[in-house]
Amino acid sequence: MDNYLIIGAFYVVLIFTDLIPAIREKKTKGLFFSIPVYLITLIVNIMIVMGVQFPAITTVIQHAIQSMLKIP
Amino acid sequence: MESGKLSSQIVEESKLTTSLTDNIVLIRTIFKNNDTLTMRQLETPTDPAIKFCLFFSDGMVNNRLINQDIIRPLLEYRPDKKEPDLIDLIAKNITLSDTVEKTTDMEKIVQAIVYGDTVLLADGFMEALVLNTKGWQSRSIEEPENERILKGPREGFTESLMVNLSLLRRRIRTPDFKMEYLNLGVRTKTHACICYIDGIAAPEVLKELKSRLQKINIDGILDVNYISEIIKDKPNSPIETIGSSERADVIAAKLLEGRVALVVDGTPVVLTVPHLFIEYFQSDEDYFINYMFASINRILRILAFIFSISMPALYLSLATFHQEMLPTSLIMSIAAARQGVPFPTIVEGTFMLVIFEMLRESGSRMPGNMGTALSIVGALVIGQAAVQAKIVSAPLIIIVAVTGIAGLMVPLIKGIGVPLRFILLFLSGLIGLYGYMFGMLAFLAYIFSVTSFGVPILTSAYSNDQQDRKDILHRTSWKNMITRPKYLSPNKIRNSSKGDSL
Amino acid sequence: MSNQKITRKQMQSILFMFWTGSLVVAASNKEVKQDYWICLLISALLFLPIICIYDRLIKLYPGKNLFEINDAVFGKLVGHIITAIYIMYAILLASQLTKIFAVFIRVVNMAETPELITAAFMVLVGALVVTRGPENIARLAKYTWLVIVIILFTFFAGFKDMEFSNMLPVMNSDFPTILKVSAIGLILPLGESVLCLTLISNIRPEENIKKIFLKALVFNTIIYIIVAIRNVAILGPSTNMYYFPSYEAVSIISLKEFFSRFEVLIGINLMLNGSIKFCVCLYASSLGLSHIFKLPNYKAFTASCAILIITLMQLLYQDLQQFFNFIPYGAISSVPYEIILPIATWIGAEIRARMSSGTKSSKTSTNNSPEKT
Repeated sequence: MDNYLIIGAFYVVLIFTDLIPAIREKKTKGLFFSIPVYLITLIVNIMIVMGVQFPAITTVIQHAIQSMLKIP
Repeated sequence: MESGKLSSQIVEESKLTTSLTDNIVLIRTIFKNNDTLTMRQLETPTDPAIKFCLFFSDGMVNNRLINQDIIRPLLEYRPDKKEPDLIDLIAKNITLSDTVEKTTDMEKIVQAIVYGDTVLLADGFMEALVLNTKGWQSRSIEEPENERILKGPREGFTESLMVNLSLLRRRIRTPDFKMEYLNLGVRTKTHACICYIDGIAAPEVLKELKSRLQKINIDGILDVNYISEIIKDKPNSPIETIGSSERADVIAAKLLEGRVALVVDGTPVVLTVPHLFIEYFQSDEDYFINYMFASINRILRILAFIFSISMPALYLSLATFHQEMLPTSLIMSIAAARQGVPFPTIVEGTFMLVIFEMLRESGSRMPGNMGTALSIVGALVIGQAAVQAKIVSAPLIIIVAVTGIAGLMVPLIKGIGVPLRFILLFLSGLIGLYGYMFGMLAFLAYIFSVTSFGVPILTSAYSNDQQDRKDILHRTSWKNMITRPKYLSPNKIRNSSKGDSL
Repeated sequence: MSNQKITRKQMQSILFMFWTGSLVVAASNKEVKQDYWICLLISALLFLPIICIYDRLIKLYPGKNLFEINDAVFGKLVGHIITAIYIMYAILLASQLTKIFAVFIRVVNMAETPELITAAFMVLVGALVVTRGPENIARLAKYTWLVIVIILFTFFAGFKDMEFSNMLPVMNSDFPTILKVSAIGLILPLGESVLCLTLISNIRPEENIKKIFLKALVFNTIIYIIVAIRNVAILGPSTNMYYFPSYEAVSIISLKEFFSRFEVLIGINLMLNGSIKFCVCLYASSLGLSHIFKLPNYKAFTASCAILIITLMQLLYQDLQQFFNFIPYGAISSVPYEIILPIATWIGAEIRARMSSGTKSSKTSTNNSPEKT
């Protein structure tokens, strides 16, 4: 429950201070990148808070390095 | 007679004619329902065809000046015939007034009548003469109430522009001290004056100030705060980026450091730009007393500001999150004092701070004879009884009291101090000391980025110069203050022992 | 009249805060135990040639930041790809830093506070600082580097708890291990300053980059050595028993009866240093994105990068053990960004400089010949 609140507050603050002024001033080039990032990360964050397990990125890197350089 | 139109519209559309009777009718129409307008018609004793008419506002003029400088010479003028350049003759040879201006501008004529000058119209001429006869009552020069000092000059500004400018002019006698007039406000047409010292003031700041003042499009300027809110860098910011003062010596000192002053008619407060953050903590008393004692006072003020924003937050974080940092005996006594208090510290803290703000605000507005009642209510009821009733705990009362008193030590900074106190308290209630530090970091980042007319307000962040730090944390003796602050003025040398200071 | 450029002392403070941002995790190593201070010295020596490379790059392309230099050396397409790589690196670094900070607070101080909220604080404050301009990072660094005084204070306050016999025997580990740990020490805190090159375009042009880096490096090495000695002297050689040895060491220190257990100050230290490092990484990534999208103002991307960082932070590590096991692999994975790419850029820049000076001299010789005949 706490985590949902924290995510919600964080996104609200950022949307009000950044996204809405950008939309008002119609900066389309920047918005092409920002809006997809906002949406995707919102979905991922909610999934993490709900408990969905993602593969840890560093484990992936660790396995890649181990297989490339053949060290234990 | 054009009914249904406002006087200001008639002024815009009409012009003077050569007929005196028509002019008289025109001016009386403009000043319809304006009973302070006084009219005096004259004729020369020798030739009744030469007619004059004087217009002025009763109460705004010095009647003696009108009688002796205007009416008497006119009545003693005995021409043989009507001169073709009568108006010029009057202006140059007859009237005794110190300022004479010939004009056909209707706007100027109306303004002159309204502001205390006398307008002279002659039959057969389209031009009018504006003669200076101002003589209204204004307050005498006294020390301003909220800027008292122990030792030093006690001259404060009054509501009259001329008196204020004279106070400054007496202190700065160089011809480089420039005073440029301008008018502000569409309906009030308030006189204002930009003052600066040529060669010391930064030309970019002056240009920026003039351009911002020209963009003002407001009904009326009654007080200097109207102007300062419109021309501020960031009107929504709680930090003051335009300084103000009611004392003549303070403004003169700021002018000598390279700032530009704006004096407005009708208010004793004078604005100065740019305004640095350290000016909140400087008091001109520092310069009239011994520099070591002044330095102690300055450091005390800065510490008081830091205490007033930090103490509730620090108490909360140490007593709740990081109890291991406090000595054991102190924690025991705080725990014992908090025994039985139902609310968490953050609720208590917010509650007491709000009560203190209410006490402070009501104390500044109530009439003097209720002051004792207020202190009794504050001390006994709220302090003592609340602790005994276990609504709040005793250590918190101490913290809030110290916070409040420290906050009152630097009165100008209340605008940011009070909200910041609450914000830091809330942040430290979330994650303890880390929240407090994050809040301070954000506050520092915010202050570093504020500029006042292009000059960053916390300039000591840039300069490694030892000379620039002489007047910030402490005041060094006048012998050592050789240069002006780096970012205020292109002309740095303030005084030099060789005597060629400029 | 206000000089919006970063001064020499501010840049030194930024570098210093950047490197000490990892002080809490990088203060000891389980393989070399008490000889860690020797590794620190060797890492500093190994970093000197990289400083020379940075200095040469800045001299060849004055006033340009890292991404513009890449474009100039490698051409637009490859330059943009390299910029994208740096952006990913900056975001990864920032999320690692946020994770370290959140984990630290959760493990040692506040076990019931969700990690997300401490991370959210750091990200929001960092975003606020960066949107106000890169000069603000510099001004903040110049003020907050004084927090290092805390470390010196803990060192001197802990004298009576220290047993310097813990430092013996010196050179207990064999030389290859020491070299290996020095290489990790080179990459992990020191080499990450390649991201500071994005800020360098804001420095006043007459400053000497070598001197700035050298001074900051010397100061940084001294502080790291002091911390390593303090930890080993107080805790003994096996400092890696604890997750955060600095924290445990300082918690033992006490001054008389009334001032004890002030290890929160170490947390404050980490927070301030980490914030500056975070701001630099965030600035680098926003600047890179604005460079790729050809927008003049980097501020449009700050919030998006901040959100990416905080999302990535939650995805980075499985658990705490893996977090500490990953450090050597993290060093290896950073080698391409920190060592290979700068060296390649430098070689490319030198080749271009030789080529352009060569074409200039050949042009003047062909101009002369028609006049002679």
